[in-house]
Amino acid sequence: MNCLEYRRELASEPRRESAEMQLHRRGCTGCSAHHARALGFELALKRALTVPVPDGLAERILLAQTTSERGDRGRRWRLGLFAAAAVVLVALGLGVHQLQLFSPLAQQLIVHLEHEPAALITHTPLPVADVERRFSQRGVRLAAPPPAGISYAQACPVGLLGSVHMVMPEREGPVTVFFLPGHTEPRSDYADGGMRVRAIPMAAGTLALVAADTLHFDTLEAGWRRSLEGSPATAAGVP
Amino acid sequence: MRVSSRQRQFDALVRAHNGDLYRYAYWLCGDSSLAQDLAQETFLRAWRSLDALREPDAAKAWLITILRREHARLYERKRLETTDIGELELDDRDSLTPEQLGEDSIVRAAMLQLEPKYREPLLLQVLGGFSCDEIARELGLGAAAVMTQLFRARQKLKSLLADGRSEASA
Repeated sequence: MNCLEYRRELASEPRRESAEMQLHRRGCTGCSAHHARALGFELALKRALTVPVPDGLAERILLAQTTSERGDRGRRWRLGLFAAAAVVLVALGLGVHQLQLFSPLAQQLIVHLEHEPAALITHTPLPVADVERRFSQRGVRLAAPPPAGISYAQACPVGLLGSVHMVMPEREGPVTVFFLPGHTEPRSDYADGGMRVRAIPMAAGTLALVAADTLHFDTLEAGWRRSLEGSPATAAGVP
Repeated sequence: MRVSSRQRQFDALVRAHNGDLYRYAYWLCGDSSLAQDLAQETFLRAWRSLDALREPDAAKAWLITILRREHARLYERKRLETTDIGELELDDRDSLTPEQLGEDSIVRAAMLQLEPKYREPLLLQVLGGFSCDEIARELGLGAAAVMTQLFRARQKLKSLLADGRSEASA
């Protein structure tokens, strides 16, 4: 190592002398004096850079941190409370909804009617193809054309069940017809306030008729049996 | 009230390093109140990611890294004005001679005139006590480049000091 190399390295890192640098310094009076001056310069530099730290800085930092932390904790607590309240509300809502889902079919049908009042507005008969399309949406192929005069047909869910929801205007008032494929309900008649409901097991499903009175129920039952199951001979498997 | 171990660790971190961080911030921005804000913001960020600190020995370098990023963000928002030498506070150093105090003022003024690319590695070395390799890692440079910058930083500083002294004696 020569003097130039020694001084360059010393100026880069004055407080760390390698063994090679020490060896050079001990054998060179010029570099030894340079080393002493460099350390003096470093001491003066360190002293000048060590500006006084403002009183109470650490305490102010800790105060800011604990204050911010308490604020965050309060926000987290409020968020947690809000989330818990939301969970309770959702659970309550689901409970109410579940009660509706598992209530008797007749009640669910009446509730469904209340949610679709627009179904009763129109009286114009739909094309047969439209009705058949609603049935095919539910995976049902009609054995015969549906009874005439259907003014509304939609594939609707009723609770957890899929259905084809239809309206058949009659002179005495509309009759709502539901077909619930794959769900077999025992034959039953049900009355709730001014509404009458008849459930009839039919074609591997259930046909339900809902109206203010039962005047047309028998006729419609027979008509829909033909449509869903075919003629008595067809239903019995006679070609 | 029970103090968590995380809080105790943070308290120790603040008490051990607030001085170094403040000084480093001061020499980065040249303003005492801004340096305090920078140090505080650095520690608040450190608190939020305290779990990332695994080795106590790495704490200082970790804090300096956060501080440098904070300073860069601040610098992006507004260009900082340099401080006049007259605004610099002097330490309460009764033991120092008037000559030494005067010498400190000249060194400080010269330091503020150094370009940031020379000032920063010098600060990391003199105030932070970091080696060339550690400075290279912190600044994202090669070790040889850092050695050159440190060499030139001292040369420039000595040149500025010579100018300062000749003005002071004139």
